[in-house]
Amino acid sequence: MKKLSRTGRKSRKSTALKSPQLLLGIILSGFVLTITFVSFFWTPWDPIGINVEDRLLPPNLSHWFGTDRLGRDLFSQIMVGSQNTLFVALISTILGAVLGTSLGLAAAGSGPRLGAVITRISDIGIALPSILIALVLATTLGPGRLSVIIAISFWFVPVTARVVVGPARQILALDFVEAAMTHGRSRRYILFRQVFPNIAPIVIVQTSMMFAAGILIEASLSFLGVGAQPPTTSWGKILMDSQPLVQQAPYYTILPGAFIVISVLGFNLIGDGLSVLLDPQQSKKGVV
Amino acid sequence: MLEINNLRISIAGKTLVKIDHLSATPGERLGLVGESGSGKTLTVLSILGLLPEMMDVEGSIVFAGKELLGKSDKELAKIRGRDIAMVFQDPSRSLNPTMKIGRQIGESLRLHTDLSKSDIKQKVIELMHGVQLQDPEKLVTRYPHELSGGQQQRVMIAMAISCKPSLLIADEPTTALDVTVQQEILKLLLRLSNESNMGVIFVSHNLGVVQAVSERIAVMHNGEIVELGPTSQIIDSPTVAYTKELIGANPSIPSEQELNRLLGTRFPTSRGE
Amino acid sequence: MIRVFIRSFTLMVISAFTGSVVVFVLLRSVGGDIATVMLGTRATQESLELLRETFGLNRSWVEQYVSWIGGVLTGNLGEAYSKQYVISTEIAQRLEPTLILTFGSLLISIPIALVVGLYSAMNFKRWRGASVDGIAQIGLAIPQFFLALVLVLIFAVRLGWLPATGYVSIFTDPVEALRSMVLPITTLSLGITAVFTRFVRTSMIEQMNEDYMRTAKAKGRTVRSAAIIHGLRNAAIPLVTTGALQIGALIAGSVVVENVFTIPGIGRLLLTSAVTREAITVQSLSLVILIIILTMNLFMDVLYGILDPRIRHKEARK
Repeated sequence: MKKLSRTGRKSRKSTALKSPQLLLGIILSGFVLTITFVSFFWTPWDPIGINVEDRLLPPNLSHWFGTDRLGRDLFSQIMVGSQNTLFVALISTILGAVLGTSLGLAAAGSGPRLGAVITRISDIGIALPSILIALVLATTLGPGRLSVIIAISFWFVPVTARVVVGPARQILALDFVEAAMTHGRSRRYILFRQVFPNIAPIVIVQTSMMFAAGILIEASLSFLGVGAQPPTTSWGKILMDSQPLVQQAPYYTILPGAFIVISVLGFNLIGDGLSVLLDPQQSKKGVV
Repeated sequence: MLEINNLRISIAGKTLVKIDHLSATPGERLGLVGESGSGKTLTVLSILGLLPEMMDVEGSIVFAGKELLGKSDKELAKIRGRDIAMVFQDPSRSLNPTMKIGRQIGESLRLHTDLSKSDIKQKVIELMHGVQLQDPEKLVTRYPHELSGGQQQRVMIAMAISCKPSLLIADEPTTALDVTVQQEILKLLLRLSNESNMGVIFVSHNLGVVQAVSERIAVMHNGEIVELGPTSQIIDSPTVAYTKELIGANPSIPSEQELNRLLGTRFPTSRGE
Repeated sequence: MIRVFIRSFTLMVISAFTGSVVVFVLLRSVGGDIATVMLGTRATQESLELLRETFGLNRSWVEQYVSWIGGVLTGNLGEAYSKQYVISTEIAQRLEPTLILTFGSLLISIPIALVVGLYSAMNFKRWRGASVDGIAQIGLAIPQFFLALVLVLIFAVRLGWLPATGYVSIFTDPVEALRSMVLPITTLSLGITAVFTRFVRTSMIEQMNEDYMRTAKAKGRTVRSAAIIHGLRNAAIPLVTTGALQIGALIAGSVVVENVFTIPGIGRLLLTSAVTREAITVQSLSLVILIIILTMNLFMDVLYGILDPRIRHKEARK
């Protein structure tokens, strides 16, 4: 009866080019990453060059995105701002992925009691939104990148652990793992050498999505004023400055915002495209 | 009543089923037997137009004088459940897990008749009695997972016969069930077919089971009918090598008398033999 | 059914307490002495001592925690150190706008997701179905604050149809209340609707391939009526589990939305008190927010039991 494949699922796509999402995702995020990279060496204008006479100019040939309320070139601001936003997202994602995967593997590899405890704790961690933690930390540590990174990681770790636990458990139940155990391989060996390579694809997809989420959260926190403090600039902060001027200078809001959308979209698409490639059935597990 | 001519079912250019001619008279019990992949399920699915979209179908399937192939989904929907009904293999998956049994059984009646709600309710209880389900009043509010496999299949049968179809297609209806329950379901099908002169197309890979129910048997292999004839003839004097293999693989096929003893009574065929 | 509820409720209470402990500890362990944090490094010793006395910051952590929880239960949390408001009253007043905003967004997103997701699943091979997925993807990528500003630009500034800021209570003036909530709820529900829609779509496509759908068709249902009558409910079930994850995002979003639209809710208070270092307020607010999140999760759990009878019976059999 299994011959009746009702969905007509195509066989696994063999090249990245066959998944339009992945392709689009790479293009968009590549664009953003390139601009960030370039910003370390060159920007069209001096990002902190205040020039009050030229304030709030709409986009034109010399100022591609126009100028902000202090006359600074908006495009340069965005370029430099990306350094901060992406940096925060990157660190948080790395922490989340590394610690979360370890935690998830530990939970999968331990007995049912301990595993259940870890899962419960993770659930509580997931229930605490980053913004809440960020604001709590802002109260004590003060606003700034450190608070944001800790807050975002605080959420990423249990989310990753949660995603990893299920598949890890499934793999542990497979025959070849049992074989390894009877051969006397240590638990840690099994987890790292056998389980991990098999769940790596899932972790990679998860990482991509988390990076996108990290950008969103960082931008939101900066918008609220709790993120990076001046003189460090970030996309969220630019938008915060633009808020009172939304009527006079709509481009001031729209262009940086569109930039955020493009980056988040790009990394989300990469995650999506990869997950479709790796397992056509997995696309329902939208995590973030 | 049913005439299949020049049926070709293919996917991406590859032919899966090739039947030149197959027919069934009203009230006849026809058995379709073959191993997995022989095309028997595809064939019966094509009668009701339930094939997956990506498959191509050509040929002619005429039922009660009307050509079925080429009809739209909406037109076929009028025939499905009312004139032709189907019972599937795995009842636990073929029933909606979140809908009460009573409602599922009454669905065809709701779709094809004008009966009032209370009338339908009554009919459902009657149907459940008819398929020998104990305590229908209690079962009506239960969900599929609360029933045993045998009960679930009886529910499927009740659903199928609710509008008194002239043809019932049973695709491996007993395969997922225990042996003892299998016999009961077979007896039930025979009785129902007899009582209302309802034709049955019984599909299975199990020759013994097919033999118990059918008057005529079509043997399928690789998408084609390799042998066709009255049951006794196929069993006692098969002509094609494949059929012989099939019989050989089912050593416990009982003789006609043994069958009657096992099943309890002698069921007359539609031709009154 | 009751059993499902009791189990979920107990878990909720435990989670709430655990979460409150986490926040409590965070506030006292990170960043140094809490009194200094609140008053700043230039504060005099006297004012620091006075603060410690008033809020009992000298006592052991356990004592402080117990008395705080006691305060939560009796409704007496003291005053903000800036003496501008009484904490418990302030929080109570601010609950209404926040609850309307968050529950409103959640409740709106579900039917939209079901309808659009269903439509998209039925047409998933054609452009109109596939494009829904793409649109949802873009919707997911839009930060709430950005959307808020864009909506304000279009509807408040350019068109003048809706107010840009402010909140009116339903009890005061229902029409104005509705007007003031349209943009905020739209903003907040976008993200969650996009996630839910994609989910319903995928879930529905899966359900279409299930055996019971084939049975429904064999009974004489058209594809569409089979999808709606049989498929939708089954497709909605996994939606409930993913909903739990989205609640946190919803609350986080409400903080931003309240600030952009100047809605006097919990989220706004959280931001202002964080910025002014009102530690006790932040602490209590965190607990309130946590309880809101967990209540929504509880709601989802109960919904799960209602939708899927197999779960109800599994619980009963334990």
